[in-house]
Amino acid sequence: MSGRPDRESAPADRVERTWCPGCGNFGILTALAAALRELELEPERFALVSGIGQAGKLPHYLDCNFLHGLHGRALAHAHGARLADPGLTVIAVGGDGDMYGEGGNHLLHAFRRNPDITCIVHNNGVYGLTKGQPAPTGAQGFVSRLTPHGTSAPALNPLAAALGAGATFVARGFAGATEQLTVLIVAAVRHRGFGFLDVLQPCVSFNRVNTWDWYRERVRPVEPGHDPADLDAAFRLALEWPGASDERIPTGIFYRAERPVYETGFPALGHGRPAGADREKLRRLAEEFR
Amino acid sequence: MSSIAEVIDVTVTVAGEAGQGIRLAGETLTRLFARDGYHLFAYPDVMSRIRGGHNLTRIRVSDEPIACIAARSNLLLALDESSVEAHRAEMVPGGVILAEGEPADGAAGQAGARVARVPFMRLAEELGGAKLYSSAVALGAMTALAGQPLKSLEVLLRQAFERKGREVVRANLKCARAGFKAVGRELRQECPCRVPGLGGRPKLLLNGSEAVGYGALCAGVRLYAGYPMSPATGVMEYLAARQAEFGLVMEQAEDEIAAINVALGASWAGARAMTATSGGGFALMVEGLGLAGMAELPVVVVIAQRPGPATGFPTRQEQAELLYALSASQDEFPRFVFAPGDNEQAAYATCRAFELAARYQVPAIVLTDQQLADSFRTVDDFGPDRLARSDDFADDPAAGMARHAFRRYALTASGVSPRVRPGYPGQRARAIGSEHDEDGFSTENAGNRRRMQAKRLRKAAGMAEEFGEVADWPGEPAKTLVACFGSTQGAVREAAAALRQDRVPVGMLHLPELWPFPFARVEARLAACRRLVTVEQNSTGQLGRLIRRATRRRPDAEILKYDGRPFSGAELVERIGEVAG
Repeated sequence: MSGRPDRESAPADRVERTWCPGCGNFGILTALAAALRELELEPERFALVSGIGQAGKLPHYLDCNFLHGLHGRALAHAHGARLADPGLTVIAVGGDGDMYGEGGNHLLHAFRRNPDITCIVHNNGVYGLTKGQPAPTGAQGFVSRLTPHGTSAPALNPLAAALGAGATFVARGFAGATEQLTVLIVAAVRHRGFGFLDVLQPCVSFNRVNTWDWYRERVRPVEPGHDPADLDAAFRLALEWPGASDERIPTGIFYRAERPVYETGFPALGHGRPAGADREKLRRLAEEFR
Repeated sequence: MSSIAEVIDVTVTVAGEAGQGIRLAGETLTRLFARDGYHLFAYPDVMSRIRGGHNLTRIRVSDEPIACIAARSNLLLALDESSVEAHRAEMVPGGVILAEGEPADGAAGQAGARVARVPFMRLAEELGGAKLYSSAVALGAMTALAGQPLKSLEVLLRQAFERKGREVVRANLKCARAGFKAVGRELRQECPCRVPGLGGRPKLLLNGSEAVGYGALCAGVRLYAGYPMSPATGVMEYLAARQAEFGLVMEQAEDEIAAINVALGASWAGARAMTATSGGGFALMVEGLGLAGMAELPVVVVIAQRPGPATGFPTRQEQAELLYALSASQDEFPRFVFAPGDNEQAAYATCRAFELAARYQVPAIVLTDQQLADSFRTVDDFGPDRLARSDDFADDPAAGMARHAFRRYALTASGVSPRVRPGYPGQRARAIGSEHDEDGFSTENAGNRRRMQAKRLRKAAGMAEEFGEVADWPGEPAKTLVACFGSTQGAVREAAAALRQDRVPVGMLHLPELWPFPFARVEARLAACRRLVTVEQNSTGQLGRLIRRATRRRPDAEILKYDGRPFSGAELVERIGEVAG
């Protein structure tokens, strides 16, 4: 069966893949499964957190701990999980509606805070599960039942937004280039800090513009000479697309920097799970009221 | 303790513009009395602003326990001139208003209140070298008028200012002494606000926010995620200051939607987690509450109620989220709703909320309100002994199970399914907001849906058995039963006591545990009464509607107060008296 990864959750042998044949999600699933093998991340050591949409189903198709929560809230759930268990590797996945629409505020502050979370966005420029509404990353002029006259705002540029908000790892992949995507996912997970990876994919059912061929004609890996520590160069890459022209869409790691990881700012988070309070300490605390 | 002498029950009020030092003056006087062993209830009546406006703190002091404000003031410190006129009418006969000015300026002896003037500013500049010491002068004068020894004030001023160095401490003490001496003996003797030195054991002094925070620490809370909102922010502040010592992660979230969802993510990963907010913030959290219900994630949500709708009065008192808390979020799932009546009850309720939320894997809502959150009330003793805490993962439900055999949402008789944390060897921790099967994968199967929803609802039976404490006073049937919830119980009880002394047969029924509703206990008490009166601070009688829904008994009278101010005992004596029959 197409897109079936090696490692499956035992009960999920019977979990049906409900993505359309040819969906870009299969490529992302394949790359993620390969990345987890390369990272030698056993299921006990990581968790997937997802939102609502086709992308949200991804955790069901892997052998993992998962929290399949509310639309747009995966990053908040991921944040909470990290703060409760700093030993857990947390990967948040979601579509462009989840991450760039409903959950935009959480993404914005993740860029700024730099928690040690990997964020993989399934960016197909449309809302697939709800049958074809425009997404923030859909091209201007996108015609749908909700926008019979075409959308009137330009597409959001999430990588430029990420760089502007202080993100420490900014990359773009393509679901049709799974080898590169695997490398990018490994790098994002290994990155100490917020690993932001926007993954372009077609929606074969609802986006007739950005098809497999459309992407293949345009995606180009970033030149080997690009220095990911160079923020200005990263901005230039990010502003290529969406931008004035859509002839070329760069893929790869645009920017990578080291900044303190958000979790290290909490005095309670030493090594592993924080300790509680004993009765004697609580008695003394009560006496403070006197 | 008073013997055959009259009970001491006086109110010392500090009033002025925001930014004039009302808080420091109010806190110092409050501590003065509490350290001396008095019971007190100090209520801040403030506007939603940082400077200007009109703010006050009412400090009611007694040698017997109290839990509400009084209607009148015996002694008032007016930090600005407009406060002198604004509060004249509320003073007891002969009550003293202390204000800035030279003694000759004062309009002494006018009907009702007596205005005494002391030159705070002049003395502050002469003796301390700066106008900002005028608070110390004022506090000195207030101490004299209240009949307390100066040295008690000196101890407090030393403690308050030792961080700022010896010079500042000396200036404050000098000014306080001048203020103390400026009050003539005659005035001191005539002031109807005698709170003489008791020398009793200093009482614990805490407000409701601190009590909630303390209860949470006793429960072993490990994550607090919140967004500042009056009057809930005090909980966050209390916990933030103690996060390192108690191993608590305190996260200020980017919005309330993040706050509840961060708490849920933490809960899923095995931490006891909470948030606190007011009605408007809770409204944003409501979808998250539903996720807690569907994914069966324990979480504690404190709602510190204030008047709405929408922004309402950010810093004032109301109790209008009762029915909302019972029904919030789409579809149906069990939850706990607490409504503690004072600070001690708030600590107990918060700790119990964590225990019960974890045991039944449901959200637990603790309803407080601005009066409870912000009022300081003395407590004799307080500590962790009554506040039990268990380890949520102590029993190991997956022990010895074959790999992947663990079923997170197993259909059990009690409705409570076993839980493991992510990372458990050989098993998987799954949580999901869609309808799901016993393994936690989504399914649209109709039979599964019926069974899963029934499983979740089945928890309510066990929940009800462990919940639903009620408090009645005086503990014997009364012809007229006055029902209330939350912090109104202080004023209701006081009014009931006063009315009973006048042979009006009333009793109080307080409901600090609202849902699951204590049907049997409430029905039994209703059966024994002739008239039912409800007292609550909202405009549509929500408690009355709840009781009617639950028992078919409709209140014979409703006493509603929704002007943003708390009840005094005196107001309720009048209003209950009118309808007691």
